Amino acid sequence: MTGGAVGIGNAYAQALLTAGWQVSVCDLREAVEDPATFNSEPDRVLGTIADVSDPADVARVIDNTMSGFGRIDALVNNAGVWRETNPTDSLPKTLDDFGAVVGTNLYGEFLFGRAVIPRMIEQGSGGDIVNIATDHMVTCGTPWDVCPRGPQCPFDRAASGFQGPPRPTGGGGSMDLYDISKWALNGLTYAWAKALRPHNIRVNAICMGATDSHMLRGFHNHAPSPEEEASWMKTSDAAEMLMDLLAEGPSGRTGQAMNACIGRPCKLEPAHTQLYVRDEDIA
Amino acid sequence: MKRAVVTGAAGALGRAFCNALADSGYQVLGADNDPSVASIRKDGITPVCCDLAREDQLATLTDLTQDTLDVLVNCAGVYRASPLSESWQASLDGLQEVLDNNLRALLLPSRALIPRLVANGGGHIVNLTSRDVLPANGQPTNGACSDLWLASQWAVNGATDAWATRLASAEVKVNALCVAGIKSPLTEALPDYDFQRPLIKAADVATLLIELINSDLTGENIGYWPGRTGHLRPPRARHRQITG
Repeated sequence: MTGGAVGIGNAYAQALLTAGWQVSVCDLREAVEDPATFNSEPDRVLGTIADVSDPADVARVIDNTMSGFGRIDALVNNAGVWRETNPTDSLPKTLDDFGAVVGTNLYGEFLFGRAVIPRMIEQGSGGDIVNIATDHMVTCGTPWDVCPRGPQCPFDRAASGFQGPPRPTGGGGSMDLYDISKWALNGLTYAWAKALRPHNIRVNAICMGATDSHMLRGFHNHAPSPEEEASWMKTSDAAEMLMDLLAEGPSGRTGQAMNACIGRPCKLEPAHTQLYVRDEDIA
Repeated sequence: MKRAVVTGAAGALGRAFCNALADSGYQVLGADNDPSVASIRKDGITPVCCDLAREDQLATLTDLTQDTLDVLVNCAGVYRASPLSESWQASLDGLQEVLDNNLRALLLPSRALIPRLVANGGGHIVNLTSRDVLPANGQPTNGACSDLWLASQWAVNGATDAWATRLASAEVKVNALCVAGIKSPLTEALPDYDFQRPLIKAADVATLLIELINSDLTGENIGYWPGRTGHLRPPRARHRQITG
C-alpha cells in the first residue's frame, strides 16, 4: 500500500488489516512508522518512510516487505498528489510541478508495479494490482458513435436521463499535470492486465471522485463549506470497494477501471463488458 | 498568412502533416530531434532540429516562431518495447526514454507556444495519440504493446481534456487524433509489433487533420483506424462541461 498514512490510503490499510492481511505501507510522512496510525498491532503492519518517485526508495520498500512478510499478494498503488497547474504556466513552474505530480502519481505507480510484478510471477499464486486513479479520466472521451455503453452511459444526459450536474472535467482545467498523470495510469492498467493474465494476476483501476480525503481537504484549504463536505464520498465506502474487488479472487474481473463519483453510489460496480481491452486479449 | 508548428516532423505522420498544412497555405515550422528533418524541402515548410523534451533546446524552436500562432500539432514521441520480464534497470531506462521523453516532448513545446495561440486570439492544438486509448469494441488493439508507451498515449488524452476546458474562453480548440498504426519504416521495424494489425496511411490522417482545424470541435477524441471513415463526424451533444 503506497501513501497510507492519511486519507483514502489509510482507510484502505485499516480495512486490509481488519480483514486479516499483513500490510506494508509507505508514505512520505513519519506517522507511517507508528502502528497506531493504523490502529494496529505492531506485528501486522510495516511502515516505511519513502518517496514513491525515487527508484531507490521503491526498491527499499519492496525489500523491507519481502524480508518482513516473505511474499506480496496485492499491490495497492494509492500514493498521489495534486497541484494547480495551467497550460499557460511558466516553464520553470511546470518543470517543478511535473516532478512532483507526474513523478508521484505516474512514475511511482510504474516503479512499484515493476518492482512487485516479478515477485508475484515468481510466487506463482497470482495476485492483485489495484491502481487508484481519478474520476476525471472515466468521464468519457469516447467518440459517440462507437460508445459501447450507448443509453447505459451514465454521463449521457439525453440518453440516460442522468439528472446530476454536467460533469466538469479535469479539475476545471486547472489540473492538467494531474490529469496527464492519472489518465496515463489507464495505459499501465490495461497493458499489465493483458500481460499478466496468464499468471492469474489481476490488474484494475479504481477511479475515485471527490472523497473526504486529506488531499481534497487540502484542495479546499482544510475549510470546505458544509455543502461540499456533505457531498463527498466517504473513505470507509472507498475501502469497502477495494475489499470487494480483492474478494473476487483470481476468477474476478481484470483490466477494468471502476468509477466512483459524486452522484453515483460509492460501491463496486458490476464487472462490465471490456471497453479498452478485447476479451480474448485477457482470456 | 497562417502559421503552424508540427513536432515530430521527421516521422511519417509529421511529414504528412507538414505537407498538408503547407498545401493549405500555412507557413509551417517542422521540428524534430532527428537531423533527417532537414531533408524536408518544400515551399512553406521550415525544418528545425532540436530535442523538444529538453528545456534548454526549446529556444531553437521558439526563437523561430512568430509572436502569434494558429496551429500546434503535437506529434513527437518514441516507442520502445518494454516487456514486464525486463530487468529493474531496463525498467528505469524505459521510464526515462519513453514516458519521460514523450510527456516532456508534449508538455514543453505546448507550454512555450500556447501563449502565442492565446495571443493570436485563438487557434487549434491537435495532439496525436493511439487508437489504443479508445474502446476496443471488437477492433484489434495492439495486444503486445509497451506499458510505458501506452501510458504515454493515455497521458495525451488527459492533456487534451484539461486544455480544452481551460483554453475554451481563449478560443483555442484542443482535440486528439487517436490513430491506428501508420504504415512506415518505424512500425515495420518494431520488434513486438503485431503485423496482423492493419495499418493506415499518413496522408489520410493529414486529410483528417485539415478537416479538424477547419472545424469548431474541441475536447474531442477523433478516432481513425482501418475500416472507419477518415472524415469528421458531427459531435455528440456534450455530456461534459467545457467552460473557460
